[in-house]
Parts: sequence; C-alpha cells; structure tokens
Amino acid sequence: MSFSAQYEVIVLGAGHAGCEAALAAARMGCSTLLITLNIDNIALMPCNPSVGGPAKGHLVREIDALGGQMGVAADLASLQMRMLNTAKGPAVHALRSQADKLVYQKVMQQALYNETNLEVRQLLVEGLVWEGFVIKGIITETGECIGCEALVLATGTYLRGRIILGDKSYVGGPSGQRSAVELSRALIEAGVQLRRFKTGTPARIDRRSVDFSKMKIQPGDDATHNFSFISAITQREQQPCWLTYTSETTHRLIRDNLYRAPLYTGNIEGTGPRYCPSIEVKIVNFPDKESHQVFIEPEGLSTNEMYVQGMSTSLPTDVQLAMLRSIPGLEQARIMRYGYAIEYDCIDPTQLDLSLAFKRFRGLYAAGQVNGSSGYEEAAAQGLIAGINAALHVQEKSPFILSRAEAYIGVLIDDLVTKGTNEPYRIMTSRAEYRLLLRHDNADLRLTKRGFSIGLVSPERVARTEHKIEAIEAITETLKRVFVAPTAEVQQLLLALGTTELKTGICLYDLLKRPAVSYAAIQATFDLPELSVEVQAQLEVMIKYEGYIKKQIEQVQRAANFESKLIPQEIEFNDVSGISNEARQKLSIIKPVSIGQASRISGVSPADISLLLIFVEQWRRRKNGDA
Amino acid sequence: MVDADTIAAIGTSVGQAGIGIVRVSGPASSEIARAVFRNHRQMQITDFLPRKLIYGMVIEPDTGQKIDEALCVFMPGPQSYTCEDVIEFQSHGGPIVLRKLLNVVLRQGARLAMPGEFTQRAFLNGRIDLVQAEAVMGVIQAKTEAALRNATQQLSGGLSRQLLALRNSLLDELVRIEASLDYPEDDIDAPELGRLAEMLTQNMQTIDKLLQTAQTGIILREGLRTVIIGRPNVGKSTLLNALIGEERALVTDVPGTTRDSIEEFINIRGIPLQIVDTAGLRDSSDRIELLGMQRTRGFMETAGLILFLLDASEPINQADLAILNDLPAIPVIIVVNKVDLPQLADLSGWNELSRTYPVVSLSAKERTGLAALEQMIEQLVYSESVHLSSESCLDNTRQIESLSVARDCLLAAFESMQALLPLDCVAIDLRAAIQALGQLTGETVSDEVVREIFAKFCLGK
Repeated sequence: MSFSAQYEVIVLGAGHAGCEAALAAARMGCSTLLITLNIDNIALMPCNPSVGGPAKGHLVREIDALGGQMGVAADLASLQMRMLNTAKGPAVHALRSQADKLVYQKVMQQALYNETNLEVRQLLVEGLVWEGFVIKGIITETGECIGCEALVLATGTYLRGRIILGDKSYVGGPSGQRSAVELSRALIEAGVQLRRFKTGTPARIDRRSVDFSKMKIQPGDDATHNFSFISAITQREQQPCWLTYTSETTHRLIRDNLYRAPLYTGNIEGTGPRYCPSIEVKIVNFPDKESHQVFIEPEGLSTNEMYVQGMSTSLPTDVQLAMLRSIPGLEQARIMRYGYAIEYDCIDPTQLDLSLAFKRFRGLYAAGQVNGSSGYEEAAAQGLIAGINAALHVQEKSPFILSRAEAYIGVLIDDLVTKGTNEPYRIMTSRAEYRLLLRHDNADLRLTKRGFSIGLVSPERVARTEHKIEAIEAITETLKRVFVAPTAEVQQLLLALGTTELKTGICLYDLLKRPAVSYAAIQATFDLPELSVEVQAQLEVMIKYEGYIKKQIEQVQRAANFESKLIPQEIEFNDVSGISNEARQKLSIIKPVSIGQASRISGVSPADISLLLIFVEQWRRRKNGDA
Repeated sequence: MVDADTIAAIGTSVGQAGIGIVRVSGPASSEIARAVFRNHRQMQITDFLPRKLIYGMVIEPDTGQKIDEALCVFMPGPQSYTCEDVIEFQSHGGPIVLRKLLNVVLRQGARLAMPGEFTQRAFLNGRIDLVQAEAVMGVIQAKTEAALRNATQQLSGGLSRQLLALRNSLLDELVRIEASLDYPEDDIDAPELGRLAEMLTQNMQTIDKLLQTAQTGIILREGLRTVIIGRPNVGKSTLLNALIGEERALVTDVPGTTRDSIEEFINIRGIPLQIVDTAGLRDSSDRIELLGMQRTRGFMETAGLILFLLDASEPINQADLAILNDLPAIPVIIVVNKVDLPQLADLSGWNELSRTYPVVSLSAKERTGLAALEQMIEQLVYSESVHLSSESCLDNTRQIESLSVARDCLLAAFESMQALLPLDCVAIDLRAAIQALGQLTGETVSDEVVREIFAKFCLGK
C-alpha cells in the first residue's frame, strides 16, 4: 500500500465532533487531516439553530474550559442568549443561545483554517487500511490512500444516510448532501457492529410569511452572557424568538394523515429519540394534550429561514404545509425547506472504551452521533475527547478520561460506553448523580488545570482561573471573620431585604446563607470589597448550598472507593465464578476498567461485584506468586 | 487498602447460642463504640485499650436507655480479622436483644454488612489466603442465591404493596421535578411546592408506621414457623383468624373445609410468626382431603412451634389421640378451644400431658383467652425453647436500616423546602430516599427516572 500522504491523526467528518477532534489533535502538536464530504458544510447545524440548554450548556462550558472551540464559536454566532432555570437551583442554571448558523460555520471554519498543524480536505472515504487490528489509513472514492496513526470516526448521520419524506425516500445526508455508503461496508467488514438510528427535523419557513402579531415574543436576557470563560463580548444585539401553539385543526390534520406517516407505515425502521419526538409522535403518544408549543426561531441574520421548533416531521409535503398553516400566525406560511426524517448507521458504543477508542482495534476512535448520541453539544464533547486521546495515542501517552464526578463529559461518555443506548442519547442533568458539583458556573474551576495538563489550555488561562480561586478563598475567609451584631441598622437592612431580624450576632458567612441575602445587598453596609460577577456568583453558590455540596462530595468519596479499584486488562471475565450469566456476558463485552464502572453495568448485581472484587485480588496474588 | 465505610452484623447465629456477638469493622468502629457503650459505672469510655475486654452496657445514645449488659473489645487494625479497626460486643444471645444492639450500632453510621463481607475484607486486606477466599465466594454465592429466591417473598404481601406505593409516589415527584429542571421551556406544570411538602409529610408518616411494625418484626416474611393442627372442625381456621384479626381462612361448620393450608404472617408481642393453618387430620377416603393431610404432616416436620387444638365441647376421640401420638419433637402448645360452649371434653386423663406440654384454654370464636396464648408463645421464645432463624433477623435489620435512611432523606428534603432551598437540592434527597427503598424492592433509580420523564410528559422539540 502506498500512501499519497501521511498524517498522525485523520478525522473523518467535519461536524461538531470532527471539528473539536481535529482542533484538539492539531493543538496538541499532531499533524492532522480533517476530511469532509463538503467544505462548505463544515460545522453545519442541520437541525435547530441553537446551542446549550440544561446539561447541554454545561457541556459547552466544559468543552471551553478544556480548550475546545464550541463555546467561543457559539458566543460569536449568538443571536440571542438566555439563562434558563434561574428560578431553580444553581445546579441547573444553564445558558442557551440562538445561533446564526452561517456565522457559526464561518467562525468554526476560521478556527480550523488558522490552525497550523491542521489541513482540511473535501473527500469521500470508502475504505480503511488495516495492519491486523491496527488502523493504518483511509481510501477515498478516487482510490487515493492516506496514511495515519490514529483515525477518529465522526461521521454523524452520514453513514448510509437515508432521507425519508412522506412516501419518498432517497440515499443522502442532511440538507441535500451526499451520504457515505461504502464506509459502512468497510466498517462491517472490519468487524464493527452497526445499528440503525433515526432522527428528524422540522420545516423552515420564510420570515416574511409569518404574522408575528399573533405570537408571543421571546426576547433574550438583558444581561450579556457568554459560554466561553475567555469570551470578551460585553454587548450584543439580540433577535427575538416567537411562541405560538398548535391548534385543534393541526391535530386533526395529523391524525387524519397518519396513514401516510412513514413512522407509522413502517417506512422508518431506525430507533428515534424520545426527547426529540416528531409532532406526529407527540399527537399519538399524548392524545389528551390539546395543544403543543411551537417556537419560531431565526436561523441567521443573512437568511429568511425561520426554524419551526416543535414541529419535527416526516409527513408528506402537502400535510406539512397544511398543518403549519393551521397554527396561529402561520396561516400564510411559505415553506423554504421541508422537514424530513433521516436514518443512519451508527455503532453500538459499548464497543468503545472510556477514551472513545474501539476496544478491539488500535488507533481507531469514534465520536459524536455515530456513537449513538444526538445533539451538537454531545457530539462536540465526544469529539474533543476522541481528538485528545487520538493525539495521546500517537504520542504514546496514557488516555485522558474524565470521571462522572468531574464533568458532564464524563457522565456522557461513561453512559454511552458502559450502559450503551437503544435510542439516540441526549445528555440531561438528571443523568448526573453529582449534579450540584457539576455546575456550569464552576466548569473552569473543575477543568482548566486538566486542560492545561494535556497542553490544550494556555498558562494565561490557568493563571486567570487561579486568580479566581484565590479571590474566592480570600473573600470566604473575610466573611467568616467578620461578625455582625444585631444593631438597629443591620435589622433594618435585613427587614428591607425581606428576611428576619438577627437574634444574636453571626458572621457574614452565615448571614449569606439566607436565601434573601446576596453579596451585593450587604456589600456597602459592611464595607466589603468589590468582586467580579463570576466570583460573587461562585461565592454565593458555595455558601448557600454548602450543606448539599458537602453531601454530594461525601457521595463522591463513598463511590471513589470502587472507582479507584482498577481491574487489570488481562483479566478474563469468563473465569469469574459464581456470578450470573448475564453479568458475565456483559462484563466480557464492556470490559470495565474499574469496579466502579463494572457496578454501573445493568444486570451486574452488588453480589456479582463482591465476587469480582475477590476474583481480581485472587488473580493479582496468583500473578505475584503469593498465596 | 481500607474501606471507607464501617460495617456491622450479628456474628453469631441468633437464638441458638447463649452469647451473641455484634461485630463492627471499619474506620468508625471505635467512634461508634464510644457512643453506644458505657462502663459498669455508666461512664463513657474515651480510650479503648487494644484487645482488652471491658464489662459494661450498651445504651441507646439518644435516650440513654439501656439495651443490654455486654462485654466490649477493641481490636485496632491491622491486628484484627479484617485488618481494619474492629469492635465486638458480646451480649446475651437472644434474637431481640441482638437485633436492638445491631440497630443501635447502625444508627450511629455503620452499614449492615453483606453476606461474607467481613471475610471479603479480610481477604482483600491480605489477611487470609486463596483457599479461604474460595470459601468466602461460596458463602456469598449461597447467600445471594437464597436472597434472590426470597427477595420478593421476604416482604409480606401487604408490606411490598405499601413499599411499592411509597416508592412510586416518591418517584412520581422526582420525575416531575427532573422534567421541569431538564425542560424549562416546555409547557409542563411545575411541581407544586405545597403538594410536594404534603407528600413528603405523608410518606414520612407511612415510613414511621412501617418502622414501628418493623421494630416489632411483622415486616418479616420469615418468622417463627407456627403450625396449627387438630382434627377437622376443631376451630383451626377460627384461631388463625382470631390471631390475625381478619377473615382470612375460610370458616364453616362443615368439617374439612380447609383442604389445603393457609399461611399468614403475624406479629405477636414483637415476635414474627409465620403461621400455617392446616387441613384437619382424620381418617378420610376423600383423595383431595388425604393430600391435604399429607401436607399437614409435612408442615409439622418443618415447624418451629405447633399449636395443637382440641375441642372443649366434644369428648376427646381417637383422631385427637392419633395426632397426639404422632407429635414430632418440636415445642407444642395444647390449645383447648370452644370454651364458650358447654364443656364435654374430659381432660383429666391428659394430666400427664399438661406436664409435658403447656395447655391454654380459649374461645377463638369469641376471641377470649387469646392473651394467654400470646403470652405463652412469648415465653417460649424468650426462654429460647424455640428459635428464630438468624437470617430473618438480619433481613428485618436490613429493612429497618433502609427505611430509616429513606426517612432521614425525606426529612432532609422537607427541611430544605422549609429553608427555601431550590428543587434540585430537594431532588438529591428524594433520589437518595428512592435508592434506599430500592434496596428493599431491588430496583435502581437512575435509568428509571429518565424513562419515566418521557413516559409522563410530552417533552422535546
């Protein structure tokens, strides 16, 4: 085999996973090639024009803290930002941004083009080059062979993609693009297990055909937010979104045309996501709900396209138009692109280890929707980790793995590779058992140093985070030191804040525990120093939720006992006697690296874990030759 | 390698030995001993000398109430069986005493040990060799299989229904909260705080009630196996009904109504009884009835206690004598029933019997004289003429532990709501409560929450 070129890392696919993977590998010093089916579609958002939300916004912050690109790009492309869940607790506060899709692509392209070690090429890959179980390179449709030491699969929904629209279906990727059919076959030949998932998107309509006077305006927040801890944007002109509702007629139209819906005619076999249901599924599964929300969202400043969120569908085009026009404000709507469903090949993620490498191969990694996840943020997070680990593999260093107690990224990847998934996987805050520790406001405190350790984060950025930590520590100490006496002035202030009077003197730290008392409210009275918004926010969360944060830290410590008990790679799980057959099978497939990971596999009971613990110790002693 | 948590268990087989041992292993052992043990002058001991037996008493630290006198020994790690700090309490071997003692230790932060866990720790900490380890694996396996077999049966029907209802109600609230946290922009009803607080209070009350019954043992699926025997129509089913206080067994005046056996779980003065009402024993040619009688004899063999019923309103007959001569070597109480009717049974010839077996007279139908029977059962258990199985005591302890943890979590959730803490904090406690209950019902929580969110709410864009 002669290669036309040789790279250390090749990334297949330039969506949200691929872009992060390529940037990470290149920034870590690897010569990197990013291959895409279409250079104009780099970092395309083929579905909703937004980034973030609960848990997803957390992922973006974490990507940013580790030196990834998504946060910076989303900040630059933002049309509107909102902080969600502000009435709820700090664990679930989350940023969501409407993105100008074209700007997002352009920003991401710029980042790729500016990266020294990175090249981008438009190619269709049809084959893989192996040396035994070691990946050596790729073969394109024109027969060109390109060599690599590590390959990251980030094929999104393009593997054997099939678009379904009413009774029509054709081979293709999202938004009228090509699909990679031969690569699927090459993966199967290599022994990769593939499965079929489905997802969908709603129609896009012409802004000029919408009557916004019949809808409720959804403006962005007055305050300016950023995902990235290093974005310096302090002001941004914002575009509103609009809220309307489906009508009785909409529901009747859909019910009357269900016999033409591919989801119900059997034309779609792939498993769709429960959390992203199409409108026909919503009507069928929740027949009692009289009306569903429909958000009209701008796709960008340079386009007339508006995204009709909540109306994802693969119904025939005439039904799509009729049902949209039955919605208040959309009576005259003109469709610019129809909604459609897409089926695609993806892998069973239990074939991967926690570094996102295939367990049975060397040098092959997978990230994003091809791993059975869904969502731009989930894809980007995996891309970053796969890119990092591909680079570390090339550099012969040990893999970079985040734990469930460290990051949502850890939860996401552990869920995928340990538990697997039967539908496109979406991250949710309820999937994180240590949610209160994994806040979006402390992603920098949690991960900046980890990013620095692998060379993705600059020393300046580390200094910045350390400065923040010092400021928090200093003010915490002050607050614990300063005692407040129940003077008339203090009581008056407290009553004005809507809380009760002091009975005895307490320190400021304890005073701040009261929900109604904020740092800003008492700063002047007690002559406290001026603090940045971030430090103030961090401080208040740490004080007000101290009890629960402690509770969660204790939970982590209890679990750490199991997490730190590693299982040697050479162990044959088939030899563990006494455990259930299901447990033995699952352990053999998943090959957990720690007792903690083993305990999360469904079908592995606490008793199985006890036996596994003893087995591992027996194995270790036999190996060391002591009885 | 030392485990972070401290485990405890009854180290002797309950009820069968004069001395019982409660063993505690882990970093918090000595701290727990300091909290629950007082010396003979009722003083707290601050410093336990290694491997020195101290005489004193175990108390309930919150109330100061004395549990039992005991000997206490502290074995600091690594010079102990598990290589961890170990405390052992040696007390009287009675099942009730040991259970109380264990509960006190658990309330101080120890966790109930799993089958074979002390030995497992000993092995993992390098104490015992591979051969012994094989034995431990055998123990874990056997106990686990037994536990699996009994997992659902261990809970009485009524209890498992209550637990399930409890768990479902908590899960329901958690799912509502989680859905609103993960989908702030969807039009779903936010959890209503007043209703949530009320639900928490109600469920705490439910758990309190369960705990009260658990303390006295009714929660057990397994109890002292008590078999009621006697010839047909002597009032066996009526006695069972009187004891359980509801119409469970079918009662008619037609002899031979109970052709099969009926089992119930009841609690008499803190003693769990698995009580079996059997088909009457007599000469019969009815095949089904014969089968029933065969089974009755089988039950007698496995019983821990036999209640042999006689009818005071009829003379003692051949059938009675046949049963009497067939009694296995198991503690028996002779129950003379129907004392509300004119008495015809001549018990004078049974005088010798009353020296062998305790006799009690009652009317099951009128429910008079039951207290005397209950007292007699209690005496037999406390005098240790009959034995409770140690497994059943442990199961019960596990149930109390899980229920107590769940209750603590609900209280924490309630208090957080009072302190105006947000729902994502409340969710932490709710989740922990459901997890604790899941140890009884054998279900985990994490994936279920996500599944339920999408089953209950129409979410997503």
